[in-house]
Amino acid sequence: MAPGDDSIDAQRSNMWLATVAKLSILVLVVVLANISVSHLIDRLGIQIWPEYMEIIDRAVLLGVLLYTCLLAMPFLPGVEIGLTLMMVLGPKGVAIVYICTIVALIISYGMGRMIPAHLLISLLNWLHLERAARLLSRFNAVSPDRRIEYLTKRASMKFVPFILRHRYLALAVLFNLPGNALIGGGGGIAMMAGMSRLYSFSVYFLVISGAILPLPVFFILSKLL
Amino acid sequence: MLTLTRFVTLGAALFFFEVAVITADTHLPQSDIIDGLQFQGQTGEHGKGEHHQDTITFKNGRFRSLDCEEWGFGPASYEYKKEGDAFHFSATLPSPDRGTLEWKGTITGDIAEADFRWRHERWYGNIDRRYWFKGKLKKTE
Repeated sequence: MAPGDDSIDAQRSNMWLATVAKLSILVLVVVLANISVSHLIDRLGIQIWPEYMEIIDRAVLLGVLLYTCLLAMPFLPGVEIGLTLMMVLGPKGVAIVYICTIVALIISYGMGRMIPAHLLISLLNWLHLERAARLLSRFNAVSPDRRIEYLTKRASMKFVPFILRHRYLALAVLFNLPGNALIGGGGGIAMMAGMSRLYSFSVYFLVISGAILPLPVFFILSKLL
Repeated sequence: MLTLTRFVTLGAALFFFEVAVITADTHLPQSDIIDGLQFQGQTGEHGKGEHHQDTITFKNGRFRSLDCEEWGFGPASYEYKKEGDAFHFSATLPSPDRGTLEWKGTITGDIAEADFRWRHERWYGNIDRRYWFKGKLKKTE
């Protein structure tokens, strides 16, 4: 065995440990947040009666629409609203958030694909989303064959060479990467995937349907614990 | 003498009738039925404090919650059984657009205590909330 092999093995082992640790923290956060929201509702003494039915319906609808819109836009905090909806609504809410996430990512992808880049950048500037506009400008300046590399490097992914050979896998990993907020979050990634024109819609749809499953699954598991 | 006896008998009958009328208004009648009773008291969600006042009635075989009626939960037939001094009752109040309210309670003396459950299926989840009611006998018919 070459002396360098030990250090490579140690590096791999550390990388796996770090991944497991990050996933454990994520599960812990979901479980704790779940418990905290339930306790908060109890502590506030809020009573829900049939007379408030219309208010409850409207609030849930508003929350679902808000979540879909925010998630579709780069750098906006949609995930937090999604988590809150799942916590308040329970298992059926998890399914709704899952469907809305797919819808939001399709909207972002469609915007990136159909709206010319300069219009999209102008739109983001008009909405005062300067950070998202700058990101799309830089992304648009990169040649199409180097765009996945650009994204994965910005996200500090250590396994870039492997990912670059599998662009759909790269997309799935990017959606789940804890630091993906740096590249615009789910909405930003989906918009850039559309802009890049490297992804066919049907495969993109299948990939996001599977890629966004971990969080709902964690949530359901946390409910069962 | 006969007149005096009749007078005393009539007086006694009137006295006992009055007593019966007065006690009927404040105490559970010594019978095996709860029809005609009405209780007024507070209600709230389980594990939480009082929310509002409600009145429940048992009349002509139908159970009503006057407050819930405002939200569309109509009267429904009730079932009951007697166990010792207590009456256990249950009823399911339907509503056209807000699901059902399942009432289960006990009447002991002039106090009615009940738990009720609101169940309603929505597109975003199943509503399943539990509430309590504690009321005092208001009147009998």
